[in-house]
Amino acid sequence: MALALRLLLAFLVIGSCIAADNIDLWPMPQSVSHGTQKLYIKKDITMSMVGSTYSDEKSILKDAFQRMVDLITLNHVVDGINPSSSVLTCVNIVVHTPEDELSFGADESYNLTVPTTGDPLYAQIEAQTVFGALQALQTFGQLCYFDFTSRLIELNSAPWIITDRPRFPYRGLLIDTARHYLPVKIIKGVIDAMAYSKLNVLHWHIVDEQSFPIEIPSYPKLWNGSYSYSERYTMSDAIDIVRYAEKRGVNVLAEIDVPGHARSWGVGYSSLWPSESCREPLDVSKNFTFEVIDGILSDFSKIFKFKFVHLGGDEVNTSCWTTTPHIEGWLKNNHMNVSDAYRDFVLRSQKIAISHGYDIINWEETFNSFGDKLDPKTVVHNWLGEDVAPKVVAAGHRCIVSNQDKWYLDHLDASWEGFYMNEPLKGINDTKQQQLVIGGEVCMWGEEIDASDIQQTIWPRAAAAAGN
Amino acid sequence: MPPNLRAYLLSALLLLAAAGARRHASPAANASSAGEPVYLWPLPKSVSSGSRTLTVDPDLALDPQGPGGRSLAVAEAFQRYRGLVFAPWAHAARPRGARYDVTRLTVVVNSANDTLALGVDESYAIYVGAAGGVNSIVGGAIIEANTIYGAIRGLETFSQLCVFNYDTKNVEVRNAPWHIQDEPRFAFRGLLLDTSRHYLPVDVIKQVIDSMSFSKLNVLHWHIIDEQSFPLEVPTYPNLWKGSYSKWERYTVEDAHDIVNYAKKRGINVMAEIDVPGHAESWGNGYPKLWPSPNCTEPLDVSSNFTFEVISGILSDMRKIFPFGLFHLGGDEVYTGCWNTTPHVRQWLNERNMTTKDAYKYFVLRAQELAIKLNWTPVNWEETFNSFKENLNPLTVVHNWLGPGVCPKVVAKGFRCIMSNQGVWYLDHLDVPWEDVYSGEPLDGISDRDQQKLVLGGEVCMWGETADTSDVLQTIWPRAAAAAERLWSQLGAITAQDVETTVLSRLHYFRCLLNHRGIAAAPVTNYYARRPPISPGSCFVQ
Repeated sequence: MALALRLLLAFLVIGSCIAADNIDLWPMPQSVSHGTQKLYIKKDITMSMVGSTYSDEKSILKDAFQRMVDLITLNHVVDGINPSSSVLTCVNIVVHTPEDELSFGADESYNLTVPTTGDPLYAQIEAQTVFGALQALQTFGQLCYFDFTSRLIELNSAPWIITDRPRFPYRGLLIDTARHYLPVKIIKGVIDAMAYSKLNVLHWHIVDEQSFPIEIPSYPKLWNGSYSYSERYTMSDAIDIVRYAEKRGVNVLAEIDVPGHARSWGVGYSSLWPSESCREPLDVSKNFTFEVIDGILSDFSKIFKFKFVHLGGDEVNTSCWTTTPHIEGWLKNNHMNVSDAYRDFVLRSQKIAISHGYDIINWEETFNSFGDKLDPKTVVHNWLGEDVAPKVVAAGHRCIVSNQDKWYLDHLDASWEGFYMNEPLKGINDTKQQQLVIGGEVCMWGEEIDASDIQQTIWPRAAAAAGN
Repeated sequence: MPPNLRAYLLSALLLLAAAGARRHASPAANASSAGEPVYLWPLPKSVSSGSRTLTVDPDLALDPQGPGGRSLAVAEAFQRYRGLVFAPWAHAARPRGARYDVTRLTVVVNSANDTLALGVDESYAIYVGAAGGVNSIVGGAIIEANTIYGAIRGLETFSQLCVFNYDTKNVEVRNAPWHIQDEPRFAFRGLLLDTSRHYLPVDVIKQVIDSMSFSKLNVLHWHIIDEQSFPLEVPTYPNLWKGSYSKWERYTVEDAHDIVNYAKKRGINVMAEIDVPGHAESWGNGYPKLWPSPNCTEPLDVSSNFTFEVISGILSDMRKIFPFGLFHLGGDEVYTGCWNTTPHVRQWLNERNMTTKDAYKYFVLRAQELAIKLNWTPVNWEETFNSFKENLNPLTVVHNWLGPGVCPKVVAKGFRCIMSNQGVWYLDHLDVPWEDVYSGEPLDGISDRDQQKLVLGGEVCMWGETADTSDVLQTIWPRAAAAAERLWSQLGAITAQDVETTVLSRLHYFRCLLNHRGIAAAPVTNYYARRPPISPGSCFVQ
């Protein structure tokens, strides 16, 4: 956790040497004005909710406030003496709705004012939802620095008037726990760092060819495909991660990539493979395949409450379907070629997910191959290149942008400037179509990173994208 | 053969037999829980185990006994290890009325004295058994130690006995009953951290300290200052930290206290270093008089009394912060060119008929006196010994780094020695794989028993030129663990293992444990340190 914060702060320090204007905030809020006065944060600064409609029964706000205070006092002993004036004693947080369940499209807007007059002196946060207030607290925390002279936390350039709202409701980071298992503590550290830069969707690419680490109670042998007995997540671990993220305003998008990228499924249930010697994609000819998918999605629906589920659908190499006799036969009987079968697989999986209450996200190959047949509510996840989003929204689908030339974090030669400059709305001029781009996502594929280096591969470049 | 050796071999054989029965393969995904071996790092002095599996209560309670059992340090350590052993949801998921084999951890500590010093008794014994077992009527776990710090070592080992069963969702101790008796071979088991080449935030230093405690390293050698930056507050000479990289990259006196306290709770000493007269360029940012001249900025000006006033001020300020009995005064890589070429220093040398070599000796000895007056034992890098051993204060602990074969010479002259042979124990040398680190032996070339006692131990060095917050932990781990075992475990047990099977599999397990605890330990089998994994794969084989 602190690792990413330090990287972020290092980023800010560099920025402050260059910026004449002293606005060391990341991401930059929508509108900022400030003054020139120095305030001190009272050593036991408190929080109040006067004027709130929201009751904070789940302690989301109180816990977030405490985390913010702990963070700004993390690295130095604060033992100065509170001066007699210019001391900020309280942060009053006004949340206008009682909503406390994180959901897609939750209003994350906020106003943050830090005045220099008033007795007592207090900062004011106003937000529609508690999740807007969480974002405000992140910004507030970034205004605070340890002062080596006074030995107190100071807040410079007051008064501040900040109005902020995200440009996109979907601001994601993909992590891949199939190529390398990531311990729960590491995932939580990533979530902490996401919150610092206001990213709000953790796209958890849980399973892939190489390993199947998560417990699926409906089909308990699936996680025999984990790398080892202990490189696994129980259902309780997954719930723990989802709750941890929710408290920080981060949604968790689960992905179960089908029909390709699923070789690990067969370790527990070998009939899912076309054959022993040809192990992917999943066997399209068997009802069992779809029973398993149904079981997975059913179990997911108890844990992953985000309205979307990601069904993958990328890089499907269908040769095992044509070379395996029983599948060849099935294709012939159903008058299908492999493209039809790929399409049907994806659509059938979509229907299963919808039956469990999910909206679907699929990788762009599904759109590129049979876009007109996709469920109209499908969100198309672009990754191949930067000319896809315009086509997707022109066809009326929602889109998430992750063009790999700029936003793939495993591409170590992709610079932070490239991350920063990548524009999700590029090539889309119609405002209605622009609204179909729900946002973007940077992708930390796991082939060549693991717990030892994931954080420094993600940061600070992901923050550059978050700045967008 | 000598009885000690027989005991070592026996215990090593026991462990080898246990491990050998399950030759190293990645702990298989579909291996039954009972087939899983248990790995401990570093290897305890004597271990016996059985074949029973005991469940551990997620609400495991501490049963403190003895004068030291009730100390705050033990209670806090217990809480920390509870958090490491059990998932955050374990308490809530505990079924009502569930029965577990181990519900209490009794910790018996004979002494309440919480003084941490070099050579404090770190021995402990652990017994984990089932009800009705040979040595116990009541099932449970007991840690016994003479001191609080022995108990903390025992808690670490106990935490490594606890494994999670993915089928039953319980934490278990497998291969019980366990009977472990343990104590370190060397009292000084160090890690050097360099906060001058790169500033490390306090929270990062604390993470390093946590990781040290997992492998029972017990001295944090804080190389605070060097040429490039001076990050620490010195109240007596408040301009000194103007030499910090930036106004944020600093430690206040309270931060330093905070670090020392944090370490103490984990039984880790902090040995501060003020490297003089070389490696001190940054001092002149606040006090340019310390430089021989504005364009010849090191070593510190030997001709000026002010230099020694500043050193004295630094040392007295530090005496209030660092209680450890050893204080490091550096003394390495002193390039005396500026003394020769700067007129007033040249004159000072001439007046005293000194060569620059004499002046180097004079400087070191004078600084030593200042430290000794403050009741410290001075530690100096080996160049001081190599240059003027006959004059070096006999209290001096000589810190070897240049290469092998130095400690034998040091102890032959009656000095104590710390080994950091750069060929094997410099962690910034990325081309030293873990097997080489593991092979470093502080007693190499020393056969006389009395001389062996003069080797306090050793230290791995994480120099900071090319490591910062982003990668310091994965540069340190897992290789530092190899040295940690070399310094803690018995020599016979170490050499009795097979490096490429038994040790490798245990180190893999320990690396994965570090990752699980949130420490970014790098893949074990990469040749170069801190490199990424080359392909997808299990933690246990990479």
